[in-house]
Amino acid sequence: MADIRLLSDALINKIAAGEVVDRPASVVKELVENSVDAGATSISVTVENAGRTLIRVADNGGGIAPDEAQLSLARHATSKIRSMDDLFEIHTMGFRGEALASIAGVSHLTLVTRQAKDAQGVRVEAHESTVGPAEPCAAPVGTSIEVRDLFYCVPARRKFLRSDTAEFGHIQEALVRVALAQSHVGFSLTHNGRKILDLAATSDHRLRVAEVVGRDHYDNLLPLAFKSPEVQVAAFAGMPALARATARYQYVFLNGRFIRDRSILHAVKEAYRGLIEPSHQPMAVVFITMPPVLFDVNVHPQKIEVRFRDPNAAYRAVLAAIRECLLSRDLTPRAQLRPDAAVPQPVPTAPWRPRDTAAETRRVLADFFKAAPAGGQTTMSGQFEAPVSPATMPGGQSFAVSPAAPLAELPSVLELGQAADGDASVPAEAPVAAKQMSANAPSLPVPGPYRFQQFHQSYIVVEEDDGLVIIDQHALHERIIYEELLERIRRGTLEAQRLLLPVVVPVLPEQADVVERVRPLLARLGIEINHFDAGSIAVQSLPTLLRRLNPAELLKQLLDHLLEEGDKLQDEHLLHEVLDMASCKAAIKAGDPLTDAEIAALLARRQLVDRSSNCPHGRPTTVRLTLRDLERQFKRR
Amino acid sequence: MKVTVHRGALVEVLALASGVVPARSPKPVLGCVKLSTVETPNGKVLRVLSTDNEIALETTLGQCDVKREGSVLLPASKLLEIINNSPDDTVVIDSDAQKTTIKGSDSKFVLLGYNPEEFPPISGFEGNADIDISAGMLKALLDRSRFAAAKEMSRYAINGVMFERKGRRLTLVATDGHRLALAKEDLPVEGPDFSHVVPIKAITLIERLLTDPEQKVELQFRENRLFARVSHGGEGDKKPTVATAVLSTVLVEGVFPNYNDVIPKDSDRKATLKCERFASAVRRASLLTNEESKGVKLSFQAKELVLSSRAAEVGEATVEMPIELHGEPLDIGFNPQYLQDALKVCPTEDVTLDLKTANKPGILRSGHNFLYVIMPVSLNL
Repeated sequence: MADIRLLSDALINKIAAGEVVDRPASVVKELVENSVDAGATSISVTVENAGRTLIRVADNGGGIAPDEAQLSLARHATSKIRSMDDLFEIHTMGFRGEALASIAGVSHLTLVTRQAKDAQGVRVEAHESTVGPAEPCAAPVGTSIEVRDLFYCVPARRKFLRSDTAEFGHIQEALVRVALAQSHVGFSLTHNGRKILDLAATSDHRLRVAEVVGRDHYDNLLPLAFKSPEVQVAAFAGMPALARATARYQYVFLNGRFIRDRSILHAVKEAYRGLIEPSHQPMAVVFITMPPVLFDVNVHPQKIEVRFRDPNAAYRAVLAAIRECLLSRDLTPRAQLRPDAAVPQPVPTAPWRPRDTAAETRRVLADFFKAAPAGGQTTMSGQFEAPVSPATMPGGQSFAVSPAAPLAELPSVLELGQAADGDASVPAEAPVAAKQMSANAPSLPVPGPYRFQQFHQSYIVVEEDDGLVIIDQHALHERIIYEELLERIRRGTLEAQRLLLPVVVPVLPEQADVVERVRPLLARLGIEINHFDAGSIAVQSLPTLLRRLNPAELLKQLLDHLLEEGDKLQDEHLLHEVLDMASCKAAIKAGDPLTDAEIAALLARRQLVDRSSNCPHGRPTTVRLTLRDLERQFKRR
Repeated sequence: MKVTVHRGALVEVLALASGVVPARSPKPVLGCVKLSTVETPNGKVLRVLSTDNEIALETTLGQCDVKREGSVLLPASKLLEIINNSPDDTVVIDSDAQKTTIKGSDSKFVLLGYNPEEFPPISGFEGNADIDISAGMLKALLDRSRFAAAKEMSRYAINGVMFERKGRRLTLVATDGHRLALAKEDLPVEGPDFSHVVPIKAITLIERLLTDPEQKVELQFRENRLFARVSHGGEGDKKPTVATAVLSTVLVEGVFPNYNDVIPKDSDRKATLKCERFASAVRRASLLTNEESKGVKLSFQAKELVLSSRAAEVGEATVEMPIELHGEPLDIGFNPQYLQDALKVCPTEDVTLDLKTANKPGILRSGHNFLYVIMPVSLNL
């Protein structure tokens, strides 16, 4: 049969182009990546008609030697790998040697290049698969590649291109994906003569990220770093308030290359659990670094998907890194008086809140509403002076409503805490040090109590050093209860008050299994249930912590929820769901009047629990209005 | 209408009336009190009415002088403030169809008010009482029961105090699902049996009307309402501030739990304790509990009770006291607040506590007329 024959090079390049080059944006991506690999520090991209008529990528990189310029346009010609072994140790962005040849196969391509050591550059032109001779010409150092009339010979491709706006959007996105990872390289993008992007080279990686996701967000991007033996994670995690309904502002990079990986994105989302609304997506730019031997990029022509040798390692590292960062920060968003009023500030408004776990735990265990100010320290200065009757307040616990935990911020106090908590293994001099520390301790600056006021029986406004914060009382209380419950459950079962009159809750027959499933979990919470009769269950005890809880309501909601998606839920998830519901129902509501002592206690607790900035559903509990914001509003600045 | 009233007496009556007036209501007339003159055997007096559509209070003022009859509807809080802040001993309230003038020695307030016809009709006490009882006895019964009533609206049927009559015996029961208090007294005469639940807000208002143990209280259950008339029995020379007061309230609907089922009959341990000493021990042991570990451990030994508590990361407390125990020793946890609530109102010096196991209810008894069932707390001690 003579029907089978080898394809011509022209055809092969067109087919290959189908894989690598499917739209103008992929041309930009390939060319820009080449420029980065060439060591460029400035890359300018010029596009006309969304890349249909012209794409020009010019860099100031190393350039190509005159005698290799022609070869560079041949298929499977590359400087990036030499042998099989290199394939498993890929450090460059490209390596296949397909891109240029493929692009040349579907366009009119002109390459102009000069190496620094050469006096003049060379120009090579390629049409379809015919590569012209290298001709000397005048050129700046670096390489410039001009792609005209893309897909002129592939009408099918051309037909399937979207609108100019859409295609240009893809181009911009392709460039951004490279630019996010390469902050030391300057990028510019010009479309139809208009400069769309101008990203100056910078050593401040956060600035580059902010320029992409929104300059205003500079302060709201939390830089973080995490290192395990195999994986390194660096990321800029957006404050929960930056969460959007779209996942557009989530970027994951592996060794500097943009990748799409559902599992990593899931880890990101998971880290924000409880801090953002479930329908929203966090803003996060994540850079993962791991040895090339631990993953394979050679599974997708555009290298956008990778295979990890140990998928869990990356997942765990990303989750741990972001979660740890979020837990350790004050995530209070700043109040936005006008949406456009936000201007980047040189000083981050979110102060660090280092965790002193031991002390926190101790304080978390202290009374909630009874942890009230001691007699002498109750005075809240000014007109909001609180009428606190000392008789109702067991004294001894002073409180200071402060924007952060300033005491814990001081290293000496941290050391003191460790020394005090330490066991016999603490070095002998530690107690002495501790004594000295404690002698110093009283002289540390303790911020005075701040004034507060409840408004509309729903919000509490608190004065702070640099402005004021507005607190949603329900959301904050809900979070506090949630964290306390979680903490208590981690230590064992909650104490339960047995009920004299069991609360009978009707159950649908199909919910019977679900009841069995949640029974042990509820028992850990101190909620004991058993079968009452065929159609109902009886609640026999309730946790003492949740006296305000209406068990019938909680169980009804829980069982309905479980019936819908019960099978999918892991125990861990289930526990969070139950805690969510329980704390929401047990918390004070908007509209509940609070006494000053209660507010003071609530505010004091705010400092002690993790993630106090958002309620368990992810809505913010607190917004901050700084003096600077106010001054701007009043045009003092 | 024109009346001269003793200011202090009017303040007292208006304060009582304001207890009924709803804080916020879409109907402005409900924020008002209705003043009107009525004919009584002792002459013409001023009557003050207020209601929130569930509870209504009608008081007649003893110390007043009616010059011209009539009625008027005035905003309760403004009227109370005007009268309360007046420096005079008496004030004159003078109203015509358009406005009401309140005159003092140096002041004149003009209130526009509302049309008295707009005030909802309030039915009063009619016919004979179901129960005649002294204020002192009713107060004692309420003191020993109402504290256990549910305070939240969550379980509506127990959000009140149950009044039950069987023959001569009147029993008041209240529970919040964690504990149950029962107080009973024998009435001088027999009457028809009944069982009704009175909402807790009405109970609070009735208690405020009971100022003197000698007062006469008549209770009448009619049309799904309770009518409670409080009056001074003796016709002494001293004119009381409030001549008579009638409070009426809707009753709580729904089934009140059968309290007899809740009181355990199979307890096999009985401790006898000195009430005051026990109360003190509980109070002291509770000092080292907190919101999240609401429990004191009670270790009953043959001759001794050891109360202990522990607040994580704070410390521990132990208090001992002598007791008489019949039965095997037992360790059990209780919410100290629940114990203290009951011990505060125990009428006798000695109390007994019947127990079975650590997860079964205990029964506190003081004399024959007070009983208290309390559920234990499961402690991780």
